[in-house]
Order: sequence, then structure tokens, then C-alpha cells
Amino acid sequence: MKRKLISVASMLIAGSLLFSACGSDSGTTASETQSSSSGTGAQASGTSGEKSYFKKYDEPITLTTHAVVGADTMYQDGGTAENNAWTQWQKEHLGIIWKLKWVAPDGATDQQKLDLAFASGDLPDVISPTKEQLAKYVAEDQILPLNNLIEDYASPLIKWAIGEAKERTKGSLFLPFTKAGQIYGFPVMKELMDYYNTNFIRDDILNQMGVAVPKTLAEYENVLEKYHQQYPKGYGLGMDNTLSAQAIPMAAYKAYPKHWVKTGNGEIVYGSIQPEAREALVKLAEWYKKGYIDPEFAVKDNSKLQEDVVQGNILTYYGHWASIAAPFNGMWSKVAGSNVTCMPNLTGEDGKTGVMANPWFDGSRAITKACKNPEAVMYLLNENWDSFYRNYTDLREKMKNEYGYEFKYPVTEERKPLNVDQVARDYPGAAQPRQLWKYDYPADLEGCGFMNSFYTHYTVLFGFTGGPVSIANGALASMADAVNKNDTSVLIGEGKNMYAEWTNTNPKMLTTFASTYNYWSEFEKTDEFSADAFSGAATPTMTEKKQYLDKLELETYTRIIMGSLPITAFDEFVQNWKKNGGDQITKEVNEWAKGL
Amino acid sequence: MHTTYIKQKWPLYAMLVIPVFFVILFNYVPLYGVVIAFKNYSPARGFWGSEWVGLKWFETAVNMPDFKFILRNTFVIAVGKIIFGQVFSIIFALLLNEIKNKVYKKTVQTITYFPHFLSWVIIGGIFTDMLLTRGIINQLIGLFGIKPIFFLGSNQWFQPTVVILETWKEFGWGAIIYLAAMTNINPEIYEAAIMDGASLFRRIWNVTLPGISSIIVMLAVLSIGNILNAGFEQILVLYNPAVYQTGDILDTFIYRQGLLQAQYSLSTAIGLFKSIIALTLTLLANFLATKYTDYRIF
Repeated sequence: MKRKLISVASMLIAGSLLFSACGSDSGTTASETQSSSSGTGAQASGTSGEKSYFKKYDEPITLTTHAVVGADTMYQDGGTAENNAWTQWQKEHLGIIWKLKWVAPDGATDQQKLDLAFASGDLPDVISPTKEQLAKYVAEDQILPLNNLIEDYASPLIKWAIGEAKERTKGSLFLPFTKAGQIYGFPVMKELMDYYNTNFIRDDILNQMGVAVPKTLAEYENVLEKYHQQYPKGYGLGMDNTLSAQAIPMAAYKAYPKHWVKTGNGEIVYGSIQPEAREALVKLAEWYKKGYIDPEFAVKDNSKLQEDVVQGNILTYYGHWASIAAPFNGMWSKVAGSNVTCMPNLTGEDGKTGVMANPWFDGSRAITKACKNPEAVMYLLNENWDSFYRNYTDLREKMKNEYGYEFKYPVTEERKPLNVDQVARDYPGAAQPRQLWKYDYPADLEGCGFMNSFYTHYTVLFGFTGGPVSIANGALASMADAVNKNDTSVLIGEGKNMYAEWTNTNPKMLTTFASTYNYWSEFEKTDEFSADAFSGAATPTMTEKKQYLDKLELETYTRIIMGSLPITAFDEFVQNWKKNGGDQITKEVNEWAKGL
Repeated sequence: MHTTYIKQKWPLYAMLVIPVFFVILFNYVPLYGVVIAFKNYSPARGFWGSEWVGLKWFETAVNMPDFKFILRNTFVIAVGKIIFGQVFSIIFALLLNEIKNKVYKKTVQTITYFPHFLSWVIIGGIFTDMLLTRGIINQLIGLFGIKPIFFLGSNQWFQPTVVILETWKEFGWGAIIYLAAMTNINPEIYEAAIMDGASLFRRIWNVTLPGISSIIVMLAVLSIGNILNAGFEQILVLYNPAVYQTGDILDTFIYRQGLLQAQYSLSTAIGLFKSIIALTLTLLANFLATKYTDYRIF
């Protein structure tokens, strides 16, 4: 049960914290249904004590926002971004009318339009800015602080979920959107797996060479050497010109390039200039010299590296879990018998490894000061979550026993989509165009949460760019679970269809994915996994100097690895980095941390 | 007489109204945006609301530790491209001019100017592959016993490589205008030269080249304006961390600093700096051309 709860928690936080959502038939009907099914009767469900967390506006109110809707997106039943089953539902049941100030075809355009709206003093009520944009708007006093709003209007379910999410993100949930103790935005969360990369290794080649998946740096080096001897055409470590694969040896040295690291005395320092990174660079330069790394990695971007992977010429590839779609799907069909699995983060001589996640959040949902009914947003959130998670019986129990919160909506049988076989949607490897499922949901089905899960698509509707990910990634956990248990009945939500589609495309997608997921879900709990110590928006000196410092770093690292600069260039780089703004940035980062 | 002139030609003037309007609208009106180079621009406060900071951004740019490298690279690459481009185009036009078979001539011309129409994104991708140490070009020079050269990854080779690639891409296109100028040379002069017993080389030297000299001067003067345009697209596609030292140019710098870091004021300042230098040099070149060749462009 504990495990289940954790996965519920992850789904909860995965669900974009803000209302991707809607509401219910106000009070009465819902609670009647509830009473009959759960037998709690007396108290109006969905309430604790006197307070109601749900509301229907008798006099409909209007909220403005913006949306990202891809050009290839099709609406069921001829709806539009502004007027569809979902918005009609809200209007009817909650008295909330949404108006879109604009619909952008992609995220970048959307951000531009948002900046334009800001520049012309015409921000919508509810916006989806990046953390940089939000910091800018907050500085100009455009954004409403959320502390009191959450305190006064959020249901215990939401508050509990926020607590869980804070814990799971090691306390950094609201940090990127916090200024002087005030929270200005809800983070748009994705599944945590989106925030770190996996070491993929060709286990068919390991088998041929008669070695096990390496766990330590020494073992890995041994594998690289063997591979180099037996496959002179290939390269052991797949490196591109962003140097992202340097993370593989860096982990063994507990070096965290490009991250902000908290030291023993509480100070925050920049990982790329630490002596650990220097040691790892020496190792990388040695590997380069021995031919384990492509001598021309500096001119190869990631897509060129992926071509090499598809040709079967790379032993280890460092990438996002979605690499199972590209490049591995291509490789599997091109290189007969090829197979990849997840290689653990390598341990160093002390038997430990160290990996740091990227700052977790970039996007947010914020409410502007011009919004007349900010509480409507919270009502919407309460309603949606209650409805959406109604079938999680463990959670229902927990909320009732520990928080005295009764779900408003009863447990309801889930419905199957009608047109599963024609469906193609927005996830790695999906065919275009995207299309909604048609659901056979009964007319008397209560609440919008189900609609939310059917029409995952609509979560994109209001510019909540976290969008379908919120559902799909809760589904990811269930997919790994299904592979482990060899039991498809544990699949939830979109997981069912993704599972079917991956099985059709290539079952190796599933097994490889599961190996990755299993590894990370365990590793994430260890103290060898940490979060970046800085998750704020860019500091003033960063805006001015980071471009140069990043260039200096990339150039120095690249040339040290290639041997065109000696390792002593690292010390020079550290001095230059500090002198040309690095020290100032470090100071600002530490001030930021103190101000939390 | 004046009035009859207007009466006769007014439709032509009327037709000019729209183009002039467009030039004003799109080339002059946006000029006021240049003020953000002297301001601490914030979109919330707009062009006029942002506070004045004088020459701060120019100082910031010049004080960037890598600014002098970037300026030097820009200059070297741009000058290399101008010289190589002109020389090759002229030689190519001279050669082509001597070909009498029309079909052959047109075919060669079409093939050579075709690359001009391809984007650097495409050509860059192709050449990145061809220029690898295991690529086709290194295999070719390997036949002569030359060791593989890492063209795009070494600081010695990067600048010559981009200049040669640009020349390869553009020389056919650049030759068109010279060819056109050559057709304007009076054939009687050639006949007279032949009567005087001038060899082919003499005819080129003493007839063709002087015949197109004004075009050469004009293009040279105009190209001076490009002295700080080293070709953004090409460099962005071909450069990489290993050759930042010799490959980073003003435009890529503006791209990273201005667009990626959203430092609009700083990038506007650098853009303005480029324009001022280009304008000064173009005027200077025009002045010199007027003085020494009796040919003025404006």
C-alpha cells in the first residue's frame, strides 16, 4: 500500500498542479451519489468541517488565459480551443467561462506572445510563464502571491499533495517561483524521470564479449578497452559536442559539471570548477587518446551521434528515457540482435557514485493581479483533483482517516475508449496527427476528472504546456510495473495504449524502458542522488556573463578532452571563470539561497 | 518646360509612391528602435520608458574578455571571403567568357551557381560529413600521402576552410555580374586587338579587364560594407567548441548573448557598432575610388 501511495503521490504532483480541469454539478447531486455509494451520508461530501471546497458561480464569471494548440490537433465533435465539451462542462457546472487571448501553435511562440502581452500591459488572468518570465513579471508587480489563496481555498487533498510533492522534490517545489517567501507560481511538473538522463549500454555486445554490465569506473574502463580491441570501428563512449556524456565518468568522481553544489559548510559552489571535475577530465582525455571516444566528437551534434548509434557503432549512449524511440528504435531494426539496457551510474574507488538532477521546474502557472476571481482557480483545482483521483481507494482512505476529508465523487467504473485502434497521440514515437479518443462515457457520469483523463488533450488547452505529460507519465510508472509483473491489468490511463503501441512497434522499447525505470525509481531514493542547489531564475550577472562563461567552459573542456590543451588549462580556466563574473555569480547564488 | 515634364512623367512618379512608402515604413521607421542600444531596455517599460544608460552597453561589449578575439575572427574571415570571392569570380568569368560553345557555357554556369541557392544548413551538414578525418576529402588527399586533417576541429584549419567553402558556394553566382559587364565591351575593340597581333592573354589583360574595371571597383567598394559580416548562417552551422578561439564571430556572439540570453540592448549596441564601421568604411572606399579611378558610386 505504501508503494501504491507513493505512485499516487507521483501522479498527483505529475498532474499539473493547477487545474487542468473542471468541476462538478454543484453540491447536491454529487453528494447524493456519494452518500449512496460510500454511505457517509450526514456531512456534505468533499467538505471537512463547515467549509466547502467547491463552488458554482450563480452569476457566471469570466477568466482569460492563453493556449498552445498544435496545428495538427483535432478536436472531437468539431470543437475549438475555446469552445468544446470541456469548456462547456465548466460553464454549465461551475459557472466559469474561459476566454483565450491567443492560441499559439507552439511553446516558443506562446512565450513571445506572453512577453508582448506583458509589454503592452495586457496579461491574461491566468498565465503559463517560464521561471525567467515569471521573475520579470513579479519584479514589475504583475503577479498575485499564492500563499493566502492556497491557505484559504485549497482542499486538504491539494494541501497533502503539495506536501508530498515538496518532499519528493527535496524541498524545491516552489523555489523557482518564490520571492521573499511569497509563492508566485504553481510549478508545471513532469514526471521526475524527465529531469535526468540514463546511461544506456549495448548488452548484446557485453554478452558477446563475456562481461557483465559494469558498475564501477574500473569495470567500465575494462569494458571500453575490450570493446576497442574487438570493435575497432566503434566508439565505447558516445560523445557529442555538448559533452553531455561526460556525466558517465563524472558520476564516479562525484563531480557535477554545470550544476550548483552545496558543500559541507553550506556554501554553494559551481560544479564545473571543482577539483573532482578536473580528475574526471583527466580520465576523459585518457579515453580520448586511447580511441574510446570519437576523435571528431567536437563537430558532431546529438543527431549525428544518434546516426552512429543507429549504425551500431556506439557502445554507451547517454540520454533521456525517450531515447528508446530515437535512436534505439532505429538501431534495433538496423542492427540485428542489438539490445540495450540501463547501466548503473558508475561508482568510484570509494564505492560511491553521485548524480545531480537538473533543476526540476521551468514552467509555471501564475495568476495576475488583474484577475478578479483568483479563488475560482482554486475551486477548479479542488474539483478536478477530487474527481480525477476518485478511484484511488488507498488515497480515499488516507484522506478520510488522517485529514477528515471526504471525496466528493464516488468510485466509478472506468470507461474504455471507442476508437483505440485509430488513436495516435503526443508521446515519443507517436504518429501524427494527434487525435482525441472517443469515449463511451455515460450521461450520468459525475465530475470532470474523467473527462480530464479522456481528453488529456484539453489539459493543453489553456496553455498548460505540461499538458498530456501529466497523465502520460503517471502512466509510465504503471507501464514499468506491467513489464515487471508481466501483468497488463495494472496499466492505468494512457499507459494502456502506449503499452499496446510500444508492443506493436518493438517490444524492446518496453523492456529497455522498464530497466531504466526500475533503476531510477530505486536510485532516486539513495543519498547518492541530489538536486541542483540553485533553482532560481537567472541572476543579473548570469544574464550578463553566463554566455561567455559557458563558452569558456565548453571550449576548455572540449579541448582538454581532445588533448589540444593540457590539463593545466583547467586551472587557468578556473581563474578566468572566477575573474570574469563567476565569483559574482557565486555570490548572487548564495544570496539567493539565504533569501529563501 | 518643367510643367510638361511633370505632366508627361507623373504616372512614373505615382508608381514610386508605394515603394518609397515601403522603404520608409520598413527601413526608416524601425530605426527608432536603435535607441535601446543606449537604454536599459525592459519590454514592460517599452522603448521610451526604459532608462537611459549612455554608452554602457558598448563598454560592456568591448570589455567582454573574448571581444577582441571575436572582432579579429570576424575581420579575418570576412576579408578572406571578400578577396577570395572576388578574385575567383573574376577569373571564372574571364575563363567562361572565352568559351564559344553556348550550350557548354550555359551548363557550366548553371552548375556553378546552383550552390548559391542552397541553405547553409544543408551544405553545412554535407560538408561536416565530407570533411571528417574519415570523410571523402581526407580520403582524396590521402592518395597523395597527406595525413588526415581535422578541418573543422582545428584552429589552424577552421578559418581557411570556411573561406574556401564560402568561395566554392558563391563564385558562380558572383561571376554573373562580371559576365554581363563583359558582354557590354564593344567587339570591335577585340577585333582591333587581334589585328594588332595581341595574344589571348593580352586581349584579356588589355581589353576585357579594363572593360569591366568600373564594375570591379563598384563591387569592391560595396563589399567593404561587409567587412564585419563573416556569414552568420555558415559559422553557426560549422563552428564547434573546439574552434571557438578562431571561429566565433560577432554574429554568433550576438545570437548567443542577445537572443539566447535576451539581452536586447547589448545586441542592438553591437549591431549598431557593426553598422557604423561598415558605413564609415564604405564612405571611405567610395572616396578613394572617386579619387583614384574617376568612378563614383554615390
